[in-house]
This record gives sequence, structure tokens and C-alpha cells, in this order.
Amino acid sequence: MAAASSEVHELLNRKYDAGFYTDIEQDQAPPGLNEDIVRLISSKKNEPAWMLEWRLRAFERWLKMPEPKWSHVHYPEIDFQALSYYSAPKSNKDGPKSLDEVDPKLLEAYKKLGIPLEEQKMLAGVAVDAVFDSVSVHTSFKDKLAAKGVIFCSFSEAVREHPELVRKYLGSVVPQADNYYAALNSAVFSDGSFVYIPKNTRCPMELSTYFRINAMNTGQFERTLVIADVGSYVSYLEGCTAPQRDENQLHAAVVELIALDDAQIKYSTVQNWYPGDEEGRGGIYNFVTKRGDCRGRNSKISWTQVETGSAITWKYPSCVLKGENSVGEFYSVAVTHHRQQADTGTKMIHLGRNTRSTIISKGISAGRGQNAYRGLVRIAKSAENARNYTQCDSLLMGNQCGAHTFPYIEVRNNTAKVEHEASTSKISEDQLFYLRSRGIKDEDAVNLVVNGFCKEVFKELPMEFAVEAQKLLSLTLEGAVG
Amino acid sequence: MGLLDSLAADFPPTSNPTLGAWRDRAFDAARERGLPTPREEDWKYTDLNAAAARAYKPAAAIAGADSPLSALRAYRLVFVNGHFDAANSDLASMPAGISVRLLGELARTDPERAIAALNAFAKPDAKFFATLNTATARDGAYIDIADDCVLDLPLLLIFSTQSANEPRWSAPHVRINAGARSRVAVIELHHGATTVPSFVNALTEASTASGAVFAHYRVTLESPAATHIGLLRLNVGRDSAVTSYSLALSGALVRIDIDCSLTAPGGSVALNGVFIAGSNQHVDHHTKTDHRASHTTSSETYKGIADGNGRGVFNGKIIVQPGTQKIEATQASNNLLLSADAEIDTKPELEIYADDLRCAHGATVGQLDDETLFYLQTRGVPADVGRALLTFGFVQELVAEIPIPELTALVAQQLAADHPALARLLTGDHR
Repeated sequence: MAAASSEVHELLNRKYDAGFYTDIEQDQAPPGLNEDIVRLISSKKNEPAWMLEWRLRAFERWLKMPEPKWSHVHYPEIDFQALSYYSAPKSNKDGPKSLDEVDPKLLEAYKKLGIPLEEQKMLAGVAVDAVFDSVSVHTSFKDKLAAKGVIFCSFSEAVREHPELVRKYLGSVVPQADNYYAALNSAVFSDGSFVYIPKNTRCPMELSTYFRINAMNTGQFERTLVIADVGSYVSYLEGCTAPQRDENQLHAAVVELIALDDAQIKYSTVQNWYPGDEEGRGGIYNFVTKRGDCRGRNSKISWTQVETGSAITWKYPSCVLKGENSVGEFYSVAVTHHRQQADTGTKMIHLGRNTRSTIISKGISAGRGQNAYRGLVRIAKSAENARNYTQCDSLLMGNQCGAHTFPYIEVRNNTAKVEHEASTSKISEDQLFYLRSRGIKDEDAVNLVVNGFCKEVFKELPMEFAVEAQKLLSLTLEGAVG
Repeated sequence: MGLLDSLAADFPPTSNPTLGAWRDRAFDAARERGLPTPREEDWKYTDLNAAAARAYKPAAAIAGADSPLSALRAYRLVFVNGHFDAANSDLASMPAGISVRLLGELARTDPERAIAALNAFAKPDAKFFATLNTATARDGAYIDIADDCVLDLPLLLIFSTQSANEPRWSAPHVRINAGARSRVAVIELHHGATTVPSFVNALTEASTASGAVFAHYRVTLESPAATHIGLLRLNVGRDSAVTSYSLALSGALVRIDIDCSLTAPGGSVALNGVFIAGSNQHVDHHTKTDHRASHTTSSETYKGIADGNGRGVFNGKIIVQPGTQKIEATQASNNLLLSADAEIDTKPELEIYADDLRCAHGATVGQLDDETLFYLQTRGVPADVGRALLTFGFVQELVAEIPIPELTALVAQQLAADHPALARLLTGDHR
């Protein structure tokens, strides 16, 4: 009897083990999503128990949520059980401390993408925290930042080294069950960046992260958390590239920004994930939740984005303006070509007194691209003297593309001033003709007009990003007119 | 007992079995679709729950009483509680070129034609209240305007809800066909004189043939407890020019949907509206301008005032269908928030699937300009008069373009009710 019961016990244990550790040495988790996968991801990252619990809570919520269908984009149903939720590049367990230790193959890939780390290091003092698939492999300028007390590290490192900060702020801007994809991200986020700027500190350099998707069939779920303490300033750059591939990939990131009293965060993105081929095959699904919380008085959060990539872009970088006199800004250029679809915009939630927000959105549709601006400006009853100005313009190139505008304006305070204007028109034949008559080539003429159209947004970008953005734009719109 | 149950229980059976079966089917379709809720995008800002929780009974015909615009010179068709009121109408003396048939009479004499005229719910995209109107409409007018008919006076349709001791339901149905090159103005006045919470579910469909010039003025002047759901469908033909004004001046819950299709080249439409959402009022306008043909133009201006704890909602959508080119479309939604408890929700939308076009929209929400008020005060204009002047001026810009002074006066009167200073001004009693 005793023997039998111990056998049963053993058996039970074995089952438990198998479910728990799905081949821990494997660098890619098997496709599918269940509680074990969440536990696997957590254990792979040596996370403390509270982090695992947090993930599991999110996973539980996610299971109960319906997939959202309200956006103006169309795509085949995503099979969440067919995706793999974790992959790590092959590297030594201890991780590289300098470039020499980084896998030369990784460096090669970066070179192809035009972002050689060595040069980046020299370029205008940019610190690069490169995320290759899911695990950070290289972080630079750490010492210089450390001298100022700035924390800039991978998210998993932050969970280990600065648990008090992560626990305090994680999920405080984008709650676990905020939306379907945020809940998914909360359960299975792979890695990302963590930034903390201490009180009264101006971050000595622009912080930059390059993300890249590499392995096949791997959803990538970054998590970024930026905290600007009282009186601090930080400018954060985010850029993405992805190599050509056939199968669609899901990318569901969450970005949380927190600005305390008198703090400023400037967050710039250049996004050029693989958009799929001309017939719309392949390409990344980019379903992102980005939100900034102007928690303190006189705080400011500014989003600037240039969206040229992805088969489907679905994101609304938002600002919650809680603090008195806080300011939210959103500058965006979104380009859709071939069969790309974008449903993007912003939300400005005014809660505090004298809060101000500005929205400048430029959409360019070419080929069969569909581009939608969807924005919400809400002036709560408590937001005395709130002010919003919104401008969204669309440029059409080609008679099969689409440009859509869905602005929601909700005003519950009669001291508020809210303005919204939008226009949609074709790229001007007159302007193109004039430029041609001056001997400027078709392509260059289009670039000139498009750059002029986007100027208001480009001028908000940091220098090196602005150059990259212009290049990207002309590359994306190659052959759109003529 | 809720709205649908009470309607199902209380509606008297239709004498003709074919028509009866048809109405039952429409009713079943409405029941299957279910009452719209704020979870639906189209009803995001408007909650029907309170209004639909009551039990409504079909309103009985009673003798007509006074209504506004009694002094207006026009060809009149009066409906009281959803039933035709012959005594107060000019049905017998309609001018040449105008033919009017009544739904109530058609249902008795020619049910097949009544069904043909009522076929709103047969359309796959029919809205809930279009279907419910089909099921519950007991009277209404089908008006044919002959080719080349030019009317000297407007056609005035009055739908009046008179006092009753229990919540009443009425669902008038109007269909207007404007012949080629005709020129007609139609005023649709919905007027309530009862303290009982009535429910009006009105549906009007109008289509214009080539070259027709058609103006439609819709005035919602319901009683303070009334729920009013109004649907207006406009179909603009070739080279036809259509103007629509919606003046939503009172009612507890007012929801007006204006769907306009430009189906042939050369068509143009101007959708204009003024709404006043005072205390305990909720006014929601949803307009849709669908450019289905090339060389069509549309313009739209809506001005809204929210005061007290009133709430104003505007949702304007412009659609340019694939393959249609040379389109011009503009839209403006301007709103005035006059009190701390008032709310405005506005959503101007563009959905564009073509490229050779020019489309623009704008929306503003603000309040009276302090500096202008201050300036007026320095010129000796008291603050309350200054506010009244500016508020009136805000809508007058749009209302002044209406060529029927009696309608302009209605708007002024309504504003004067909330602004005593304006009342004094209008009566010349401001010294």
C-alpha cells in the first residue's frame, strides 16, 4: 500500500515537473500559450515570485477578455496558440560585458540593418540598449549614466536590481487588464527597457533602444517603463527594423511613462517593421499600448512617432494629464503603402487644472494603403481651463488608397477650449508640375512635397532620427506616384 | 414592462392579414435586433434605457389643437398623435402637381401599396428605429411632387403629440418623391404639448430626381418629457440640390439621424443644424453623407448649445466610396458650453476611399469670449444682455440663412426662454 502510494506520488510529481519546465535549455518555447509558458518565461528570467504572480494574474484576466474588433483594420484571425512566446539568442549564461563578447553573428545582423553599435556609441553620445529578440545583449554608456544616478537597463535587470521601483510603477499607467493586447503583454512580456531619472536630473544623453525581431514565429512583447522623478528630463528614442519574412508576426508592446512634478519626458519612435510585400503577404502586426501619465504638477510628456512599417499598425500613444498645468503632445507621421493598414492616433485625457495638449497628425496613404486617425480628447469636469488643439491632415497618393479620421471630442467643463481640424486631399498636381518644370525628378519632387507636409512633425524629432525618418519616408513611398 | 413588450401587447391587430403579417415580421426583426445600447458605437453617448423602460401605448386620434407656426402661410398636413387630422389639413386643396396619399387610408384600401411604401425594414442595413417605425406606423403621408412643379408656399407637415394621461407612442412615416426640376420646401414640425413622457419614432424618406431643388426643415419642438427619435433619409439625384436644416429645440431625449446619399453626378447637399440642449435635455445628431457618385459636393454646419445640465452630441460622417472622384466635402461642428454641468461630445468623421477630392472638417467646443463680453460692457451693454446677444449671434449666423422668417423666430423664442435678457431684446423692451 505504502509502495503504491509513493508510486502514485512519484507519478504525480513527474507530470508536474514536465508541465513546469518545458525543456529549460531550449532557446525557444514551444508554440502555444498556457500557464506553464508564463511560468517558463518567468523562470527563464530568474524572476522573483511577485513578478510571476503579477504575470499569472494578467494571464488570468487575458483569458476572460474578448479580442477587440472595433478598429478600422482587417486581418486574418490570429491563432494565439500557434505563436511561440519566448526566444532567446544563443549566448553565454553570464552575458557579454563588452562588444567583443557579443556574438559576431548578432553584430553582423545589426550592420546589415545599418545600426553598427560602435558607431552608435560615438554618435552624439547615444547610449544603446539593444534588444535582439527577447533578451538584452548589450548596454552601453552605463557608467556615464550611473554617475548621474540614471538607471537605464533591460527590464529583466530592473526586476532583479530595482524591484522596489518596478513594483511601485509597473502597471500603474497601463493596468494589466487595460485591453486585450496589454493583458497579453503583461502575462508574457519578454524584455524591454527600464529608465529611472532621479530628482532634479537632466539625463546627460539621449537614451535609445533598437528592437528587432529575428526568430521565426515568435511574438515579441516588449515592456518599457520610463520614470522621470521630480524636476528631471529625459529624451528617449525607440527605433525598430525587421528583416523580410513570410509569416505574419505579432508585436504587442506596452510602454508606460510616468512624469512627476516638473518632469519632462520626450519619447520618439521611428517604426519600420517589415510591412509585407506588395500584395500584403507577411509583415508585422504592431498592436501597441503606449501611455504616459503626467502625474505631477507642470509635467510634460511628448510623443513623436514616424510610422512607416508594419502590415498593420494599431496604436494610440496617450497622455493622462493629471497634474496641474501639465502638458501632453502628440506628433505623428503615419505612412501606408501597398496594402499596409494603420489605425493610429492618440488620447488626451485632461483631468487637472490648466492642462494643455497639442495633437499634430499627418497621414500619408499610397497604393492600397488604409490610414486611419483615431483620437480622443476628453476634458473631465475637474479640468478647469483646459486647452486642446488638434490638427490631422491626410495626403492621398493613388486612387485605391484610403484615409479616415475618427476624432472623439468629449467636453465636460465649460472653461475648456477645444479645437479640431482635419483635411484630406490629393498630393498637389500643381506643385509636382512646378517642381518638374524646374528640372526636379518625379521621385525627388514627391519627396520634397511629402517632407514639407510632414515638416511640423519632423522638427520635433532629435537630429539623427529626423534624418533617418526622411530617408525611410522616401524609401517607403518609392514608386507611389508616377 | 419595457418598450417592445408594451408595444407588442397593446397594438391593435391590423385588419388586413397580409399587412398584419408584414408588420409582425418587422416587429420580430426589431425584437431580434434588440434595443440599441451605449455599447454600440452609434449609441455611445445616448442611453435609451430610461426612456425604454416605460410602457407606451399607441396614441389615439384626437381633435387637433394649437401648434406653433399657425400663422405661417403653407400647405398643411396635420397629424395628431400619429393620426391624420383632416379638419386642420389642406388635403383637399393641395396645389396642382402635388399628390398626397395617407398611410392610414392605404392600409384600408390598398394594403399592397401600403406594404410597398413601408418597406423600410426590408433593407439589410435598416436601423432599429426604422424597423420599429415600419412595424408600428399607423399613419403618415406619401407625397409625390410632379416634374417641373414649383411650389409658391412650403409644404408644412405638423406632427403633434397632445395631452394624454399615459405614455403614448406614435410613429409617423413620410415619404417624399421630388420630380425632375421641381422646386419645393418641406417643413416637418414635431411638436409636443403634454407633460406625459411620450415617445415619437418618426421616419422620413425623401428622394429627388434630376435637377430638383429640395429644401427640408425639420423642427423638433417636443415637450420637456418627450423622447423623440427622428430618422431622415435623403437620396440626392443627378444635378439635384438638397438643403436640410435640423432645428432641435426641445425634448428630454432627442436623437436625430440624417442619412444622405449622393447617388448621381452633379448632386449637392447642405446639411445644417442647430441644437439647444438645456437643463435635463439630451440632444444627439448623427449625420452621414455618403458620396456614391463622382462630381458630388456636400457641406455641413452644425451649431450646438449646451446649458444647465444638458448634453449635446454630434456625430457627422462623410464617406467617399471607392471609385468616386472629384468630390468636395466640408463639415463643421461648433459648440458652445454655457454651464459647468453641461457636456458636449462631438465626433466629425471622414472615411475616404478615393484620392481626387478635397475634404475637410473642423470641430470646436468653447464658451463665450470673455473679451468680447468685456468690450460690450465697456460700451454700456449689461453682462446678461451681452451674453444673450453673443449666444443668439452664435446660432443666428446659420439660422439667418433660412428663408422662412417664422422658423428663425422659433429658434429665437426658444433661446429667449432660457435668456430673459434676449426676450427683452426681441420684444424691444430692453431699455
